[in-house]
Amino acid sequence: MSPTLESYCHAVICKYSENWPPTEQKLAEEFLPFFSLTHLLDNQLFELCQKLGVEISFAALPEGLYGLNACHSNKRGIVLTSTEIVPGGNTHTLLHELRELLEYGFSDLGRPTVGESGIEYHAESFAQAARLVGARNLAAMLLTSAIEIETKWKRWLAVGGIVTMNMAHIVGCFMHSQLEDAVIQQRRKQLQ
Amino acid sequence: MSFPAYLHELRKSRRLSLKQVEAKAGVSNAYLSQLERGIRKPPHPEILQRLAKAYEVPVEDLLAEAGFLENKADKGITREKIEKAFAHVVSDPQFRHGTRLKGVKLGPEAKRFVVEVYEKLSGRKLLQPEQP
Repeated sequence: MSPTLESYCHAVICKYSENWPPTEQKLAEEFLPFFSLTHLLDNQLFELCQKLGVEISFAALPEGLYGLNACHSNKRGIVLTSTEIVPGGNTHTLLHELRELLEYGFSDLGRPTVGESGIEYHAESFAQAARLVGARNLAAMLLTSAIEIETKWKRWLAVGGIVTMNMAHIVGCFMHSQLEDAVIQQRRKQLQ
Repeated sequence: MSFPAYLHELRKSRRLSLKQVEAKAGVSNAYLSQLERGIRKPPHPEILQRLAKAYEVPVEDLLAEAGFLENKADKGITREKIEKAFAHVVSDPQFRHGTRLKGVKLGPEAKRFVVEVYEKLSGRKLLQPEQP
């Protein structure tokens, strides 16, 4: 049976019932393997949403609004901005919105993880944590291949390159929200 | 009126030269000229946002003229209608929604997107443009 958002919520509640609620880091670490996600690149998330029946669409959202999620009866939809401010922005936003959909699931099962006013911060933390788990998985996959390279200098070059790129990716994930704010500020200054 | 003609009229009505718009919006005057002459296709929404700020018009107007908004009759949907529809939507116990919103409040334009998603998911039409 294919995993669903509800089955994920069930699984998490069972695992962490004694120590509720789990941290966003824990939720992210459970999320990727539960849905057979590895690195979150190559439209993995979009394909997952398709399988889960979550309709994704893009629109020219007003400035400041990066995405929105909605749920009516058993139907779910996510709208993302068609103007990505920072590369990876829509992946981050999609994770954010999915986390909010998960919170509806936890609430329906009587185990909310946050009060209504706190979901924004938690969803942002989840998105960041999930991307970092993806970055870690990607680095592990690439390094596993790199250490098989026979020629020593090529092997070290590959390892060095992978580590460097991964560090840059990790910094990007950590600083994503600040990068978005900086780009917006810059644009506003240019218009003045 | 075509989008190129609309853009040209907008600039003329503000008595702005191409270079002045370039300075205000950060859009090259050569590119702007090509847009006004219809040589280039309507630009990306991000550029339309910059032009909207430079011309001091709602960005929805430019998006509608450029064909990015699905229904050009959107102009008939008033702010009051949007607020009323949004109030209905949030009071529906079967509906839940959330946003990734930074640095701004949920304004009429954003509320409208929430209503439109509600319409799609529920199959109910709440926003109808005013008849001309």
